[in-house]
Formats: sequence, structure tokens, C-alpha cells
Amino acid sequence: MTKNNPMKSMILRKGAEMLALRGFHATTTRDLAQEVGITQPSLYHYVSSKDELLREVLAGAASVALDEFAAIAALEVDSKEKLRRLIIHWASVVDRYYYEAIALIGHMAIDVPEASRRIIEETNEHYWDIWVGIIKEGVERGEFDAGADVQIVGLALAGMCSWMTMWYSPGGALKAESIGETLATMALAALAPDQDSPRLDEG
Amino acid sequence: MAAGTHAERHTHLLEKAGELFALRGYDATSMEDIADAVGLLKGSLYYYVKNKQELLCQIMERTVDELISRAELIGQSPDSNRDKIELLIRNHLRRLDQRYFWVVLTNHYVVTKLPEPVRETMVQAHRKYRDVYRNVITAGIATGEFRADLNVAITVNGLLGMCNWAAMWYKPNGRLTSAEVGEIFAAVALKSLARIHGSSAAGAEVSQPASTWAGESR
Repeated sequence: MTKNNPMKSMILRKGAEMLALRGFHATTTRDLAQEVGITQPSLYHYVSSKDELLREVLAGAASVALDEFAAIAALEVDSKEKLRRLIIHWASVVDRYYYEAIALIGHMAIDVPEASRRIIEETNEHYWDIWVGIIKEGVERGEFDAGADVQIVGLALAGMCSWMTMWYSPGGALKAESIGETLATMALAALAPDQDSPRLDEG
Repeated sequence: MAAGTHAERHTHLLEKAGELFALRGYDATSMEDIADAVGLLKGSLYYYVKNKQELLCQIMERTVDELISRAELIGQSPDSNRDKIELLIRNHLRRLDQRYFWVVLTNHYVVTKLPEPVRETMVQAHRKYRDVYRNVITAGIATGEFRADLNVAITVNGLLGMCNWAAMWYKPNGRLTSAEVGEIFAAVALKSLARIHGSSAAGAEVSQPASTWAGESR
């Protein structure tokens, strides 16, 4: 099988980069073959088509990221800590899987074939369930105050974090760790119950 | 094609083209599809634009022009910095009902389909827009309206992310209007920026690295 083959990994990695930077239509298997230094027929030994390439890129990144997010949601810690860890982890996912994250987050969703679009939508739904689940849990435990509309506040905070794929530059001046910390601080402040003064009352 | 002045018909053409690009994708939409949608012969489209790429450029430029010209006025107004943040966010969200497809389109990766000079214009426009937020937040930290312990560049990107992301899930004629979403978003923003009781003096600890934009290497 070619599953854990280093060439296959390289094809998926380079393929993700091309798809994210050029979009689905402008990516060709010919350019990809050239980029990884093999012939086009050899490339087809690893991925049968451009559609399959995109599906594999998306499905691979989605399953890794979602497993990790689900593990954070299942931790036995308070909701504030869970949300903090989730956001910091998200920032590290964007750093480590930069191109895959761009593809998955759905900026290019309108331009891709149906099967890939479904993977993008399902991944985003699954992520959303984890995200809003933590916020609702925190509201029930009295740790968070999301006002009258948990859904919209959850979307506001999800947007703050998700949009990182649009402005982050790997290796740039703003490091993923400090981005994660800052976004987590903002999200926790936005959800803090009125009488609670987070962070500084504690220290 | 709708009646009206040349300018009105031109805007109508851009609206229809934006809708098709947003729903089907830019590559999958042909000039013929656009001509059909506005009820013109394909040849008549060239009375308004040179080609499909020019249509996209005009849509993108108008979208950011409309957003930014208002934002700059808000930035220069004598209002408090808290009020300015609220107005900026409401202005941004309101556009979702006014120009839904344009905003959706501008959010997607079509920037790669733009020719270099227009792409540069878009990058400049984003920088201008971010600067409005950055200046308001920096001023608000100095006056003690906002907390001083957050990295300003990341904060600005976070707030813009919140607003831009709305185009990914918002549907016109849904449960809430975009103005109502804007009201909730403004409250979220102000709460996340609020100075915490007993926090450090205004202006202290502010770190302000140059902000970044995708495509700018640092």
C-alpha cells in the first residue's frame, strides 16, 4: 500500500500547498508531478486524480485535527481551561498544517467538487459542535456568560480564531503561541460573567 | 436588463455577476452565464467591461471602497474609542445585507485571480482598513478605555476575523438581520477589549509589532 509512503506524504503536502495557494481549478497534476520531481504517470500511482488529491488532503487533515480537538473537549478541566487550550491548539494546527487548514476552513469551498465540499462542510460542522459544546457547558457551569444568544456569540469567537488562516504567515513576526494566547484571552474576556474579573483577580 | 441609467445598469450587472461567482465559483461561471442572468446578449456585456476578470476587479474594488470609506469617517469622528469600535463593527456587518454576494466573494480566495495591480490595490485597502481599527484601539488604550495587555496587531486581526467570518455562515432573511448580528458582535468586541478592574496603567505593556497581511512576508 502507498498509505505511509514518504513519496505519498510529500505529494499530499505539496498538493495541499498548491491547492491552498492557487485554488482547485488552477492546480494541475502535471505541475504537482513536476514539483515533487516525478512523471505524471507515476503521480497517478499515488493519487488517481486531482479530485482524489484534494479529498485526501482534506480528509487527512480533518481526522487528525478533529481527534485532537475532541480530546481537549473530553478533558476533565473547567470550561475556561478547555476553551483556552482549544484556541491555543487551533493556532498550533494553523502553524503546523498551514495549507491544509486554509483548504479545510472553507475559503475555497465554492470552487471545489461536491465530495470535497462535503468533507469541508462536515469538518466545519463537527468542529463547531465541539466549540459551541464547550461554550454551552461553561454557561451551564456558571463559568461563562454568553448573553442572550449563545449561538451568535459562539460564531463571533469562532470567527476571531478561524480567520487566522487568512492573515497568519508561518515564520512571521507574530508567533502562533502568542496568537493563541491573545485570542484565548479575548475569548475568555468576552465570555466572562459580569461580576467576575478574570485573570487579574486571581493573581 | 433593468432599466435606469448606465451607472445603475452597470451596478446591476456587477451584482448579478457577483452572485454567480459566489454561488458557482469564478472559474465555473462564463460570460454567457452572466449575460443570461442579466438578460443581455453576450456581446453587449463588453459595452460595460472588457472581460470576466475586469468584472471581478470592479466587484472587489467597489466592495472594499464602500466598506473603507465609511470606516475612515468613523475613525476620524470625535466619538469615544468605544463608540468607534461599535460603529466600525456595525458598519462592517451591515454590508452583509446590503451586498451579500459581493462580501461572500471578497472573502474567498478569488484574490489569486486578480491581476497584479488590482491585487496590490486590495492589499493596500486591507491595510488601510486595519489601520483604522489599529488607531482606534491604540488611542483607546491610551485613554484607558481598553485593556493594555493585548497585542494590538493580533487583536485587530481577531476582530476583523470575527466580522469577516460572518460571511461564511450568515444568510440573508435568516433568524437575525445583519444589523442585529452587528449589535451582538460589537458587544462581544467591547467586552473582550474592556479594561479589567485593577489592571495595569493605561499604555503600559503595549507591544505593537507591525501588522501583517497574507502575502506580505516578514
